[in-house]
Amino acid sequence: MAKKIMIIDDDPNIVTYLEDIFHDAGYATCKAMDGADALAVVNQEKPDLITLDLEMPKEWGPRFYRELSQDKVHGSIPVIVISGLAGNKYAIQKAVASFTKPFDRAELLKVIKETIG
Amino acid sequence: MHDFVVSEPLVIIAQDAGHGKVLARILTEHGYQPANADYGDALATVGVVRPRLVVLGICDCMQGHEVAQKIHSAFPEVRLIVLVPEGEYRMGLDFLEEGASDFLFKPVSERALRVALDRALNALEVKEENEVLKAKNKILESSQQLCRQLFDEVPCYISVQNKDRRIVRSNRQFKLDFGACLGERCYEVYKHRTHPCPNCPVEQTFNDGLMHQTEEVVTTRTGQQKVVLTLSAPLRDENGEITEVMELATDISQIRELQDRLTSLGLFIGSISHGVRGMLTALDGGLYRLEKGIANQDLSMAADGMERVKVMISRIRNSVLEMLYYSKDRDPNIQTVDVQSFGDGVANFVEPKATKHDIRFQKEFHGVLGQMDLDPETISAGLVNILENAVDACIEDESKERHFVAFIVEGTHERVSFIIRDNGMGIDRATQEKMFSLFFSSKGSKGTGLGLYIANDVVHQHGGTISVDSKVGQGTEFRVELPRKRVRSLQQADGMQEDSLHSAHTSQV
Repeated sequence: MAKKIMIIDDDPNIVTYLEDIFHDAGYATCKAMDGADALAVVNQEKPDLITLDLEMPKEWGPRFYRELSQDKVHGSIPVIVISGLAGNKYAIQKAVASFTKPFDRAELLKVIKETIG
Repeated sequence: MHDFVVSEPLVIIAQDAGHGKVLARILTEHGYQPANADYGDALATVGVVRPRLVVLGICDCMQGHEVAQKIHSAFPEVRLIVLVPEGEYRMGLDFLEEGASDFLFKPVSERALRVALDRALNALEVKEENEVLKAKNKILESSQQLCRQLFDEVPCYISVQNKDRRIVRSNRQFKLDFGACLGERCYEVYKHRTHPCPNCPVEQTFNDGLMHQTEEVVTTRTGQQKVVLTLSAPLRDENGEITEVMELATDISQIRELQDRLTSLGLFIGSISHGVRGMLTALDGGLYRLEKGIANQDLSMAADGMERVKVMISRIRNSVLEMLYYSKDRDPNIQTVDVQSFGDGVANFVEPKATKHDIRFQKEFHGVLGQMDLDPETISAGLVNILENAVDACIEDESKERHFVAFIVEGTHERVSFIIRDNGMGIDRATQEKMFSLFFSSKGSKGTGLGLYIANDVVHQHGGTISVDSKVGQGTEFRVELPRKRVRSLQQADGMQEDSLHSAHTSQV
C-alpha cells in the first residue's frame, strides 16, 4: 500500500502542486488547509509524513506541531516544514527538514524517500 | 630714568680724539660700553658695534652732516645725539630735522649727556614695545578674522543662546535660512513652538556644563524642513560661569532621506517577500502541470497548468510593480480622465466609512470640470488616504455633536483643486510639520506612517502641491492642487522638483 503524505498549507495552488508531485512519485495524499483542522485530519487519515506550512490564517504551524507532538498515537509522525518564512529552520527544531518556498522538487522527494521510503 | 645702564653698547664719534675719550670715560661710569671713532671710520665702527645709541660731536658742520646722513641711511634704527658748538641752536635744529633724536651744546655736562642718553633709550624701548604690541595686535586681528570666518562659513547653523534660550549671536548660514533672529527664542525660530522643546540640549548644557546631542526636525523661514543633528557646548565667562551656550546644528536631511528610503524599501520587501515566495512556488506548480500535460499529451492538464502560470505571473507582476513604485523607478501611468467621474470614484471609496460612523459626507463640484491628466491609481490612493484621515479625525474628536467631511473639487482652465475639509480634532503645528515624513504617524499602531508620505510624493510627481490649514479642536483643510495638463519638464528637472517639494510643505495656520 502506498505511503500517505499529509499536506498542510493554506494556499490551494501550493496544495495542488504538492499533490501533483507526490502522486507522481507514487504516494497517496491528504490535506488540511489550516493548522486548526489538521489534527482531526491526522486522526482520520493516519498519514506517514506531514508537510507543514508555518504561516496560516487561523492557527499557525508551530502550534499545530506542539499539539501533534503531544499526541500519544501520532506524536512521532515525521514533519517536513515548507514555508515562505526565511529562517524557518528555527521554528520547529525537531522537523526532519525545512524547505523555503520556492523549494527544490527533487531535493524534497529525496528527503521524503529517505524518511518513509 | 636709568640711573645705571647695564652694558649698553654705544659709539662716540669725535674728530678730537681726546674729547672722545673723556666722554667715553664718563659714560663707562654710567654702565655704557662706549667705542670711539672719528669721522673717517664712524660708519665702519657703527657697523661692527651695532649700537642703539650714537653720540656725534660736531666740529665741522659739513662733515658732521655727512656722517649723520650716512649713519641714518645705513642704520635707520640708531638714535643719534649730536653735540653742537655752544649757541648753534639753528645747527642743532637742522640735525633734528634730519633725524637726530636730540642735540646738546658743547661743552656738554655729564648730567645733560646722561639725561639725553636715558631719554633716547627710553624712547627706543617705548618704540620697541609699541612694535611688539603692533605685531601682537596684528596676530589678534587676523585670528579674530579667522574665527569670524570660521563661525560664518562653517556649513552648519550656529547660534549662541542665553539662559532664556534667546539667540544672542548667529552665523551666516543660520541667518540665511532662519533670518537674523537676534533676541528671539530658539524654539520659536527653529520649530515655531511656544514652549521649549522637551530634552532641550541647550538647557541640559546650562545645567551640567557638558556637551549634549539631539536630532531635531526644524523649519526654515521658507517653510523647508530639515533634519538636523544638534550639538550644544557651554561658553563660560572669566569666572568659569556658563553664561551662554553654543548650539551647532548640522543638516542631515539628505542622509535621513536616503535612510528613510532604504528602510522603507527594506520593510516593504520584508512584508511582501512571504507572499512572493508563495507565488513563486505556485508558479512552479503551474509549470509542473503544464510540463506534465505536454509530456503526457494531456491537453486539459496543460491548459490548467497554463492558467495557473498566467494567474501567478500576473500576481507577481503586480507585486514587482508596487516594489518599483517604492524604489522610485516607476513612471506615473498618466491618463486623461473625466474630473467629475474621477472625483465620484474617490468619494465612493470613503463615503461608506464616513456614513458608518454617522459622519455627514458632502461632495461638491465647482468651476470648470472637464478632463485632466493624472495617474488615476496613485492620485486616488493619495486622496483616499487624506479623506480617510479626515474621517478618523472626526471619529477621534469627542468635542462636537455632529461631524462632517467635505470633498470639494474645484476646477479652473489650468488647475484642478481637491479640497478635503473636516470638523474633526485638528492638527497641531508640530504635527503639521512632520506629517509628510516617512513613517511619521500620529495614530500609534493604527498608522504605518506611509500614507501621507506617499500622497505627498505622488502629488509632487504630478507637479502639484499639498497644503494644509488646521486649527486644533476646530478642523482641518487639505488642499491638493494639480495642473490640468502635466508639465513634463517639471518633474524631470530635479531642481524644479525640489522647489515644488519646498512649497508643498508651506502650511498656513
